[in-house]
Amino acid sequence: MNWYRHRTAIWLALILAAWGTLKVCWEQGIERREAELRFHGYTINRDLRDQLGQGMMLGLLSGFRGVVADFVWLMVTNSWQDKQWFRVKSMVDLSTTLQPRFIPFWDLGGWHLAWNASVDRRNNRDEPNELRRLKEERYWINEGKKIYERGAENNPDSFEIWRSLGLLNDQKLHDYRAAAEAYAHAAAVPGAPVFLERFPGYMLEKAGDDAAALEVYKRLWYLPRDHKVPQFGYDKVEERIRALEAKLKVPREKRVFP
Amino acid sequence: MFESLFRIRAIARNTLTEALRQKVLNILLLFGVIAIVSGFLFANFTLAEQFKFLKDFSIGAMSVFGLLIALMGTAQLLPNEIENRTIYTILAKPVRRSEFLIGKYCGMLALLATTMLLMSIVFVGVILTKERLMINAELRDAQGTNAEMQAMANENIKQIHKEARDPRLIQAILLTYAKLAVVAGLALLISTFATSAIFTVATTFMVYIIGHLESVARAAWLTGGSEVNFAAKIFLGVLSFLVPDMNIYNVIDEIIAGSAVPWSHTLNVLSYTGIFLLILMSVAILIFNEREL
Amino acid sequence: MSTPDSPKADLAVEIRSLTKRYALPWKRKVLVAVDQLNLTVRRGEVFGLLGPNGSGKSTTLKMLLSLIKPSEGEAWIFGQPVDTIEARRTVGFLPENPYFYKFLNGDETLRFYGGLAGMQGIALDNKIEELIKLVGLENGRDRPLSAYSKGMLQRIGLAQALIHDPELLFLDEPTAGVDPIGSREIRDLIVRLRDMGKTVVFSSHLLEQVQEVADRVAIMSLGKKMVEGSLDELLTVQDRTQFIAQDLSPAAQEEVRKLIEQRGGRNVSVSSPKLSLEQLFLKTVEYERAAQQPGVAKPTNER
Ligand SMILES: Nc1ncnc2c1ncn2[C@@H]1O[C@H](COP(=O)(O)OP(=O)(O)OP(=O)(O)O)[C@@H](O)[C@H]1O
Ligand SMILES: [Mg+2]
Repeated sequence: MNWYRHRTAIWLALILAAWGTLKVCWEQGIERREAELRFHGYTINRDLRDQLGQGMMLGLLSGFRGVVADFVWLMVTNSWQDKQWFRVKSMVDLSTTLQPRFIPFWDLGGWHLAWNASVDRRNNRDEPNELRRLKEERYWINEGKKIYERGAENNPDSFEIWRSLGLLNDQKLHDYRAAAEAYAHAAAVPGAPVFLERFPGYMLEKAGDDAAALEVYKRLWYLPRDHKVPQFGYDKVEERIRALEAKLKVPREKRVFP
Repeated sequence: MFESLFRIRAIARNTLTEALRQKVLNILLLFGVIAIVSGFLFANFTLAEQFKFLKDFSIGAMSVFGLLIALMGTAQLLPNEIENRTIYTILAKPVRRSEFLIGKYCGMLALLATTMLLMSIVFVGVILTKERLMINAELRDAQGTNAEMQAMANENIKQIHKEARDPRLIQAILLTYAKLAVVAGLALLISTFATSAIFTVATTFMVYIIGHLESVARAAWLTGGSEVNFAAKIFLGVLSFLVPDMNIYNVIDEIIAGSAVPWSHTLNVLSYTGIFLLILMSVAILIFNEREL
Repeated sequence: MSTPDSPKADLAVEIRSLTKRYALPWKRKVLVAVDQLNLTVRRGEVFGLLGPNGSGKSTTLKMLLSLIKPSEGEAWIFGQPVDTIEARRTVGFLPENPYFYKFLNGDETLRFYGGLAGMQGIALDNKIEELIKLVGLENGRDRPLSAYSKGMLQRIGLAQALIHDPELLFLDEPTAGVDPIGSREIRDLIVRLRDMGKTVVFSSHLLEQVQEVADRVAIMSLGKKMVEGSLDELLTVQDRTQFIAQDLSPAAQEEVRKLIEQRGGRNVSVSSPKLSLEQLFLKTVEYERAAQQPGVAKPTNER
């Protein structure tokens, strides 16, 4: 019988066909789950290939994404010490592309640009024109902000980037309303430190919108929580409410603390 | 059945003994150096960066050394037996070829488990030492400062604890082991029909790399429209059917980067690996049974 | 009920039209390593497999152990088809130029092979003691095999083949590379094994030795079996007679010669001994000599 001579080949074909079908379905399932868990933030394309060079590309293709990202990040640190700001920016972009889920890449990357690069450019002695210096400063602050924004978008479950964005809006851009909004985002993330809850209030006060600030503090005050737990900082909330109620001349009957 | 397991164990143990007597574990020294250097070289980076570097480089080194052993070691298993004709003496005993092959593979798995275990112990030692040193430094710096500084030090100590004793590292190590098992399995399968160890190493490495692109091929095969021509479609389909998806082990990087990776996901990947290895071994046995020695 | 076609369990080895062809790469030819071989080995006999280099002895033994698959034909060991694991339970094998695991010592080697044969515990310990003594390897039991001499390797190989107390032994050139004393010891060992009731099939080039121990021999050439039979049958020259006398004076010898001629005997030489196995061997495979004559191509088994 002829089939008998080829029985190994037939078995092979059967096993592979059955397994192949199961395999493809299984892998699709794993990939769907990974997407839900927000892994796979990057795709290998020509741009990435050009920027990484052959060695790192091989590392990436051998399954060492984390190590490759670390090496890129070490280049960020080097370029930062050498004040090569455009290189810092492109390396930050690269490392965050490789590992968008590692928060410090966004957090520190944005900080390098918005704080270090901007200050360095403003104090640039080679540029006599002050206007130009300020323009450059502004440019780098905005680049940092963009990194924070992209980071926050990629990591909605992280409060750190929102907090940094709040700080940037507050200290660098003096856009206190935007800062208040960013801090509100940060405080809303589960697991964020509770003191962040008060920050939108501080920012709105800084923005001159005392009424809105009071609303923030009042909302905190009426949360069903134990006001004696020191972490919640209700002594500070109470102090701010009293001060704002006095400042805004809120009618006694409408005050929290009449 | 029981006898069969007995013989498999004898062959596996012999394979492990051979590797250990050839001082394969010397690789541990190199690993120790890498772990210690990556643990203490980057002292002026932030806490999160330091721990990431340590974990990435240590688990990466485990992976590289494991891959070396899995690739080079497995590729030589059969050629050595055949060249030295020791295989004749084994198969002349009441031993099935399948038992021989499974025994060899189990020996390699045991070797990989031993090396991974020892490297993990070194790794844990380094990371716990680092934890101790960093906590001591925090405590020293916070001594005699105000309440706010002390609260910050406490926050840092909490973070150091969390980073150093991350239980998810167990998942990372298991997944690394699974990856090595797949590579060893591939090498063994290829060596059942290869004519030289070099060929096996080269081909296995190629399959390993292609495995990292399998998801791309699969996506193009499943969703690619008319722009993918028929021949390419067949090629992509065959590739998706045969080559394992090595990207599923990239979860290791996600774990170190701090993503929450549920155990259910890890177990799913591990079961995929298990079934894949069963298929791999069945195919290897089918081919090896036909082989002339 | 046994038909003439069913294998007989009382035969140690039964081979029917066993053939092995190898495709020669880069040539559109096949090499017939073993050609339509029919052979039987009876239980309890010592069987010598003879033949020049490349005549297919090792190939035959490998097929009997299912290390390679026959292209044609079948073979049985004690009635079991050779490709079953049962057939191999009753067989011990010493390959030609054996190499074992260099990193194991003598004891560990035997322990490993004993384990493969399903032995363990005290039974295995005792067997190892016994075999180490039997093959005379007391000085090598805790030395790694990488430090073994050729003769020691051959001995550990023999011990390994005997570990599970097989009924039948296949020894491929058991004395190759062993010095005359060692080779004599191995020969004595084979005799002892036969006395223990075991069947031994061995291949060798040392014809003197084969002559000393083998009950029956087969001579192969270019994959074919040329002759097979008991040594007595093969070596006795049927149409000749040999007298052996002591203290016979030359004159008396002359008288006897004349008497034989008177009675019709011819071509008498009183001192001629029995045909040696070597003579038989050379006669059987005379192509070697033919090849030495100019213009005559050496025959091969390529087709
Ligand atoms: N794997 C193989 N591929 C091709 N030809 C082979 C192979 N193995 C053996 N042969 C050929 O088969 C023939 C018989 O070889 P075999 O080893 O059986 O001879 P032998 O009688 O044992 O010789 P020796 O006395 O030298 O050991 C030889 O011509 C050999 O070249
Ligand atoms: Mg031979």
